[in-house]
Amino acid sequence: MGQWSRQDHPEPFIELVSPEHATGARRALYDELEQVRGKGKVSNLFRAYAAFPELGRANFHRLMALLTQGSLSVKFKEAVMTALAEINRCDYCVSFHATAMKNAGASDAEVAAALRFDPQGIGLNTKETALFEFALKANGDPHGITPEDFLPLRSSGATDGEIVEALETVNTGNAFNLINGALNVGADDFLGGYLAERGKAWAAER
Amino acid sequence: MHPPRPAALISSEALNTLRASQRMLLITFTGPQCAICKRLAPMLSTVLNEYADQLDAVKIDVEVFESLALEFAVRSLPTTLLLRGDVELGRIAGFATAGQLRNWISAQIDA
Repeated sequence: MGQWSRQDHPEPFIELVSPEHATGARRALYDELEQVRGKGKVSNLFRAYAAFPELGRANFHRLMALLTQGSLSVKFKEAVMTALAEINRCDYCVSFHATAMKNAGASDAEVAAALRFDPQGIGLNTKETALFEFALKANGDPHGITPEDFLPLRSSGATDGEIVEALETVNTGNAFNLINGALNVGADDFLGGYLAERGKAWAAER
Repeated sequence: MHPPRPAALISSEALNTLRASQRMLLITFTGPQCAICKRLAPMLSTVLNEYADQLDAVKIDVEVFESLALEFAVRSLPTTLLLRGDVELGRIAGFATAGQLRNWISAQIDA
């Protein structure tokens, strides 16, 4: 299935091989992914990446490092990636990361706050609220960042490592949004169509 | 769903009509090659929908309305102004987050 916002193109632009048909290096990648999400559960994003299995593995390891290492909360990171998905108009990515936000304890209202880029409504601590705002500003104009932008981060206790962690969250979100957008990769069935209305609204604006 | 805001200006006369209304007016100057303008767009659209009852908004392409860019002393893109009539209440040059835009607009509405 393609993205909900691309009703003119109902299918992805490359083949997304299902787990039951995967062989060789693709199968090896799927085996690694299934250890995290469960047998037979390989996201459409990584089915797309599996066209180049070595890059799929590298990006999976990158994602695991981001989500399981560092000190910032998964809720914060998924909130940033939900906001980026909205900015980049990747409806699959909105559904995926908003679902992950809720799995990390966010309410529907907090998901809505991430979708309107409002860190005050996401229920983050002071440091992560400042980092969320910084992440959006860096995403908007990275070369416009000045030392003054670091003042609220430092006053809230953010370390260099946490700042890099926040920026890499931006990188990761944007990278996956690009893959899914350019290849018209649609939402996984296990997301249950959460926030499909975002994509359908974007389709209406085309 | 709200239509995307701000809408593109179609004539100088339309801008004059908006300014004559004395409602608070947000103008953002953009250009087709302006990458930062594209990054600003979702921030503006989201925030403007929240203030739909309190201010008008328009987007001006400087390549189409070069004289307006000169009139408003626009030196870089994007440049976003808040006006009431002929009075400029403030301007932001460059990118702004939704939070920065909310604080900026609220400060003027509450003033």
